[in-house]
Parts: sequence; structure tokens; C-alpha cells
Amino acid sequence: MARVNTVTCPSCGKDYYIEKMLSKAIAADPRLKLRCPFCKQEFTRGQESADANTPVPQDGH
Amino acid sequence: MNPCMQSYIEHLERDMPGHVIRVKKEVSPEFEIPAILQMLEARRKNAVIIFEKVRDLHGNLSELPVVINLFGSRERLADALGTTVAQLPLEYLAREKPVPPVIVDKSKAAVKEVVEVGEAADLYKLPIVTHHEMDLGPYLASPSVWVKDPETGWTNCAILRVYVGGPRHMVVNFNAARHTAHYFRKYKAQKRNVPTVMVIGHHPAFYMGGQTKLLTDEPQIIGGVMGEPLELTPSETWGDEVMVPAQAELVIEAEMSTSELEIEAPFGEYTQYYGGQRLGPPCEVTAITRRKNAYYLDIMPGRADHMLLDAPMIEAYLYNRIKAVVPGVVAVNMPVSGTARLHAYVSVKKSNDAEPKTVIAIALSSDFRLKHVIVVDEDVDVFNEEQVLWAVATRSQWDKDLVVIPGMMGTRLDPSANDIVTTKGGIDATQPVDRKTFPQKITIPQAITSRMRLEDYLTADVLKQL
Repeated sequence: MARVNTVTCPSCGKDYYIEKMLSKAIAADPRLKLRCPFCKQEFTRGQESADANTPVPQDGH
Repeated sequence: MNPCMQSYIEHLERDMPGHVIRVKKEVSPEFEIPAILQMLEARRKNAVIIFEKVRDLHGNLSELPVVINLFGSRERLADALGTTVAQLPLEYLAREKPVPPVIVDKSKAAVKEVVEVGEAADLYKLPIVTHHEMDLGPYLASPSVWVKDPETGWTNCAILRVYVGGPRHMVVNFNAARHTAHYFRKYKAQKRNVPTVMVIGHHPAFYMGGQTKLLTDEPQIIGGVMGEPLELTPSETWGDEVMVPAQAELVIEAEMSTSELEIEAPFGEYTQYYGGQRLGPPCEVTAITRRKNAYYLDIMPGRADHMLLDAPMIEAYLYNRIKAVVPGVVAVNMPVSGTARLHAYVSVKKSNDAEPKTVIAIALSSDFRLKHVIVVDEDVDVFNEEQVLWAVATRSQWDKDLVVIPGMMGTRLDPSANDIVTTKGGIDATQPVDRKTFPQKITIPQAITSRMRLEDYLTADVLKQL
């Protein structure tokens, strides 16, 4: 099953990928800080947009 | 004195014209270096590129030129071991023997010409490259990361991606199935940080030796591959307990935490997709030592520079594993089109019709990343993809020649896999052993081709255009 987990940065609104294992770690510890590769801001899961962390199909599958 | 990166680049510029391009105009380490490499690759140029004026991460002009694409040509890798492209895996196998290192005094170690310890050790003074748009930031992409087994004393060398998060702060990524992780877990059990040495820049044979697939003391294998004992010298941080290569361009010494994890990635990987953000152990820099005129070596992720460095070693390893069971194996190619990790083409002079599927099973279980294997006869050149695909087209019937094995361990960097669980497979594209039952490949009589020369039939003007 081809999937990546996508998060949306609450600061700049851009999407990027996180690994499945990191998704699980966030679920276990929502205070865990992510860092946006575009604007470099740190944020936690509660600060994400409503669409965040939605698995999406990836090209090439 | 060991051969080094400086001497190798001098050799290329002197003896292999066209293999080095120098860029004298100033470039940014953020995306501009990869962009120029991409433009040259589009023109089918695979030269080493030396960027002479690059800003460091403080924004100042760096003292260190950036070298990229050192490994982007099989011809250069073969040259580094004094052999031909065709013979490279066999030459590597012949050299892959332990040669104990020698210890040299720091005064004879070029890597100690500049020594910065503690607060003075500043990663931001280096021209560290940011490669792809979604990368988290600047990454060390070329370090041979040395970790010593706390029980046996063996040192593992692995080229790992390392995120640079601050002037003395890094986060390392390594696969849980690999030797670095094996040693890391031993330190964790002892509640100790991992003394970590990152080697940036050395002779290509040094890097190739460090890519051995043997679980052993790898600096000894580096000596074997280089053809002379590797010169080591004490580290600044741990003294004689942890040694560093004396003739490297640059060495970063760092303490890797076994009790914390931090964010790193996304990072553009060898699959030409981004690896997602994940957690890795943070590292604090304790010292940076280098040559006065050091080059900063970068490896371009997802390009031939990245893929080819490991390919001959995987080919040699697979060749050896297959030969133990199927002696008729002729050659193995890990093609760049398959990321030099996911596809293998294997040629065999088979003695029975069960051997190709045996080859597929051996190869697929020998490297966790390898996903598809195509087995061809000895008349097919595995380094010529047109010939390999011709064999698939004309010598395979997939109701009986296709092998599919679901549920095997793969790489999570393959986006089509379900995390580390993947489906592997292979194609037997060989003719039957009983060749009388299979049509002959077309040929022109050799008596004719051996006596004819194009020069006798075409004018000089036409020949020039060819």
C-alpha cells in the first residue's frame, strides 16, 4: 500500500511528509514538536490544520 | 603516506582530462550546487565538479571548495582501484581482505593541520549543501560515519545522512537493520553516548572499502581495498580510544545521544523520492579537524554520485553469494535505473534450468533493499539494458518464469512498499539448457564481419559524422 503521511504547517500552510513511525510517536505524545522544512517553524499536532496527517496516495504506485 | 582525495583529484586533472570541471563563479550551497550538477547531467556530463567559491552557513566565503559527483562514474571508481569497469566487482572482491591499520603521530596527520575543539568547532563555518526543495535543511551527505563496537572493538563505517541543526548540533539517520544500529543498541544498553567520527573526504578507495558488506573491523577492509594499511591517528575527544583516518580532508568528532530522539528529514533519498520526517539520535560536536587546504566533499543524493558508490560493492557481494551455489554466474549489474539498490541483472552460464530461480532466491535474500532480479544467459551483457530487456521480451513466459515473493523485508524508502514489508520478484529470462529446443539468435557470418572495415566503404567525411 503506497502511502505517505502528510502534515500541513500551521505557520506557512505548506504540506510535507512524515514517516508512519513518527505519526505513531505523535499519537502517543501529542506534545512532540515537528519542524517545517519550508519555514523552519516548530509546531505540535494540536496546531496543525484540520486536514493534517491525512494519508494520501503517492505517485508511482 | 596513504593516497588521499587531494592526490586523486590531481591525478584526474592530469591523467583523465574531462573528468574534472572547476566552477570559479560564486555559488550558494543552498540548491545552487545541486542545480548546476543537474544541468550538467542533462548534458550527459558526469565529471567531478569543484566549486571554488561557496558561502558557509554564516554567509561568509568558505575556505573550503566543495567537491561533488566524485563517485558519479563507474570509470572513475574502476580507475581508483586500478582496474576496468568490467573487472571492478572482481577486483573489489580480490582486495576485500583485512589489512591492519597503522598508527601515525598527530604531527604526521594531514587531518590535524587545523584543530578546533569545543566551542571553536563550528559546523556553520563549512559550506554544507541543502540539496532538494523539501529537505529539512543543510545535510552532511558524504560522511563515512565511524562507530566502534563497545564489545569487540570493531569499527563500522557507514555513509549516513546527517542533518545540521546548529553550529554544533546534528541529527543522524540510520536503518534499524544495519550495523550502526547494532552497535548503537549496545551503547544504549550500557547507558553511554556513542563516540562518533564523521569522515568527510578521502581517496575513493577509502570510501569503497568502507562500503564492505562484511561484519568486521572495517578500517582493516579499507586498508585491503586501498592496497596499503590505513593510517590512523588519535582523536581529539577520546585520544587512543577512538582513532580517526590521518589523511582525510576533514573529520567531525561528536557524541551521539542514546537517550534522546529529535526530528530530522524530509530528505531527498536514493529512490528520488523524499524520505519523510522522522526521529533520530542527536549528536553534539566535540571537535572538527581538517587539512589547511581541505576540500569539502558532498554526495548528491538520488543521483549517480549517490547510487554508484555502493553499486560495485553490492555487485561483488551478490556475485560471491550466488557463486557459492551457482558456479556459472558470470556478472551482476545493479543499474542506476533501479537506483542501484532495487534492481539486479545477473548473467549465468547455467548448467540446469532450475539455476535461474535459485539465483533469484539467493539475490533477493542477500540484500534487504533488492526487489527485482532479472536473470539472463551469458550471451547477454548485463551492463547493456537494451540487451537485458530484449532477453526479457524474447526469453521469458511469465506463467512459469516469474517468481513473486510477498511479505519480505524491504526498504521503507521504496514508496510502493508497505513500510518495511515489500513484495519481491524475479524473471528467468534465460533460454532452456537444451538449446536445440530454442531458436538461434540471428548472426551475420563471422567470416564476413572479421574481414570488413567501415573505412573501406565510407568516405572520411561520412566517417567523421559518425
